[in-house]
Amino acid sequence: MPRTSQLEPTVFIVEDDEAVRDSLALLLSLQGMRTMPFASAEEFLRTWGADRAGCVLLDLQMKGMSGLDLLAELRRLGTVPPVIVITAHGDVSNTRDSFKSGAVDFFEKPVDPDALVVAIRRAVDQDMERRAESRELAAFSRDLERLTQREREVLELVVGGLHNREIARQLGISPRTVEVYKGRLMDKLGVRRLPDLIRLMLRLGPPGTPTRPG
Amino acid sequence: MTGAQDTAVAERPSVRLPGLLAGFFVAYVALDWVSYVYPVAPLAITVWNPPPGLSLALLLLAGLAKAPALFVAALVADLVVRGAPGPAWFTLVSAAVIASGYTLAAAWLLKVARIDSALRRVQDVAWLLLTAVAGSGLVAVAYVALNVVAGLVPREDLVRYAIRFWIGDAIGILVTTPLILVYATWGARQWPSGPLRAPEVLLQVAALAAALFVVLWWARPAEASLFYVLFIPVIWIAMRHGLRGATVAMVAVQFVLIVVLWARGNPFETVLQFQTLLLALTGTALLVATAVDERARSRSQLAEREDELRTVVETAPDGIVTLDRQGRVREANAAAGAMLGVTPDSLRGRPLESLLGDATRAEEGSAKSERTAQRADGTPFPVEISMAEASGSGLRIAVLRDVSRRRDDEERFRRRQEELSRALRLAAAGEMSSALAHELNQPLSAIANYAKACQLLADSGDQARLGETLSRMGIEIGRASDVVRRLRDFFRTGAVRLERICIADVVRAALESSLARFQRHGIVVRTRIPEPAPNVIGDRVQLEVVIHNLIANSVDALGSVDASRREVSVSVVPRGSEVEVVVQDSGPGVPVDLMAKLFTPFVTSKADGMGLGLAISRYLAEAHGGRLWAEPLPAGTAFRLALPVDGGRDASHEPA
Repeated sequence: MPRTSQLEPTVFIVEDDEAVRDSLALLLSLQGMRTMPFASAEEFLRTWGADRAGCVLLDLQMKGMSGLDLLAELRRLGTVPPVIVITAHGDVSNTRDSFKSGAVDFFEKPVDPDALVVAIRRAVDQDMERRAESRELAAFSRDLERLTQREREVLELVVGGLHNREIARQLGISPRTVEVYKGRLMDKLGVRRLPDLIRLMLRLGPPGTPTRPG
Repeated sequence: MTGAQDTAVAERPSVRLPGLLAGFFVAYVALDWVSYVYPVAPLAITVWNPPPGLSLALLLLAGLAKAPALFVAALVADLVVRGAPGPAWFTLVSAAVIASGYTLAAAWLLKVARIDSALRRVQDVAWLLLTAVAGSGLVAVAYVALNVVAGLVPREDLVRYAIRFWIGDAIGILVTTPLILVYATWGARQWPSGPLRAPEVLLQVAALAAALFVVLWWARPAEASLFYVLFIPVIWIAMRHGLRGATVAMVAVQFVLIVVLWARGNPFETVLQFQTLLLALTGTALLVATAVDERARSRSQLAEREDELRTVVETAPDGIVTLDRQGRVREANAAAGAMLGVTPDSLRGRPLESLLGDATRAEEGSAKSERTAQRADGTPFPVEISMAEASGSGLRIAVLRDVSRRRDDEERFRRRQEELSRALRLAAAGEMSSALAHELNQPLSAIANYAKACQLLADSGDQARLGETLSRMGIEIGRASDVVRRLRDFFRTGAVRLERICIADVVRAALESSLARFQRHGIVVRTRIPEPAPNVIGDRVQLEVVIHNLIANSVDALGSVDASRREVSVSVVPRGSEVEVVVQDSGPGVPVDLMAKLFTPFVTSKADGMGLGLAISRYLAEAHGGRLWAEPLPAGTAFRLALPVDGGRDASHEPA
């Protein structure tokens, strides 16, 4: 398969029934989506990469590797795209297994095309959002590296919810100086408002957690 | 019998033995003293000698182990009554001869003749009579010979004295022993003739007294010419009261005879003559009395048995009717009356035929037939009649059974079977529809997508692609309706849609649909499918359901098996005109008690199963002219599905 632009969202159709695969591809492409059909889970895995944006339409019952197996394999690879499961047997155990394996949505055949399209759009948006966020976080953590020691200390106390005066007492400096550090580090991190700073810090996780590269 | 004695002994333990023996010694000595009349003084030879009778009774009742007591008693009596006239060795030896002689007699009666000590049978009394006469004869000869040897009796008197001793001992035994035996076993006996009636007893006593008067005083003195008169009251008493009367009567007669003859000073020869006649009378009376007892007992047993049989017949749930030679009712039990709605008595004398219609006839040669009878209110009901004939009397017995209830039961059973088979077919269809759901859902999904796509294409005016998409949709619609038609056919008739299919394809399809299951449980699957595999004629989906079911069962069987040893093997084995699909697992095997009913609906070892899978599978296999069965393996179970092969061995041999 030719490598397409990684940022353009694609619907990956993994379905062993030719008619279903063909009709899904046709329908989605008429809705203006990029599609890539695969006749088996193995075929899909051969071209899959973490940089692939979009979502996966996955049939559970397939010859060879099953849909659940594929979900497990994706988790093992650590790159879980939004997966919409489609199955002919919508029983409880299938549903439960699918959601436990990280599926975002679950449809029983025959699928209402409109509902499916809505779900696909939602999944794709979710994927785009997630990717944007992870890019933002990556940039933020790169900026964090540029802070000085004293700026980092001030940042941690600020995120810890302390007022300027308390920070000043702890660090043995004047509240005015704290204010200066604060302004400087927010400049460096490209953050305007304090709440944005705290949100990003929380997303990043506790200090020391390795951040995910975009 | 011995049982009765055992009971008596058990009722009176330990105290009884010394008491019994003491009583025996006292009675022995006393009797010896009393009966020491007309002796060949100073020897123990008399015309009436009851002590041996006492000895014999003791051994017959208390067992042969008491034999030493006989010896001691003989010694003591000799000492007390006669002052032990002979030399010491003679006293000892003669006591030993008497004791051992009667011990032998008792042993013979108990061990060889095996008589009943309660004298319940004629043979018991007959043996006692014979043994008393023969035994006392032998003892007499031995004892008198001993006396001759000791020089106490002249040699020429041996025979005379022996006869005297013989008669005395024999009559002593016959009068004493039966009396003791009968009254000692009183509790263990049943007296047949009911309670004694005083007037009758008094009359009998009077008759006996009169007879004795006639015999002793009316006849010329010193002659026993009228002795036969005594037979009349004695036999009367024996006939009426059995042994309990006869024994007492004989003791009375003996006592009166001896006392009167002795008091009158009749000569010894006269007494011997009387005693000989008395021996005959006693023997006759005892035999008659025992025969009377025995007959009365068997009559009461018969009455008991009859009572028992009557109760059985009366409480039988079936109607039982006895018929005379003309087929008329003699007796009818309560059930027969209840069945026909009349009292049993009113059936008597009516011909059985008149009670029964002849709607249904029996087949030739069978004792059973089914007829229609009418209840009292006129409703007809089916009745099954079994006829039997009593051999000899020509009496016939008819057993009537109301079978209307059974008819209902049969009908109900048949209907339930039908329901079950329909339920089975529905369940099979259910199973099939779940297998077909996947197949049906695929085209339906595609159709839904194509339809939406067509809408979009129509909106955009792309006629070329619209046409192409519509034709693809048409193909999918055909696929869906095909599936639906097969399911509907099966629902409606249970029919199979026959086509020529390669069994290998069916097995592979079933394996593929089970792959996820295998993987989830970490099961190693081995397949052995010959190439080319035979063709069969059948319904692809149904056969797939069967094989899928078998595989699913095997997977379930492996639940408790260690993960490293979970194995399922599926093989196709051509076997003559059949091909077998063998599915075997390495599980723990089917419990023996479940094996026999493995294919019965609703029998399952699984907590969550309905127990229908195998029943359905067999149903489907048989609908294909095939068979399905299970075989236990050393480890695990093999399910074999045999299907008839289509014509040749495989597709390549088929004429094109």
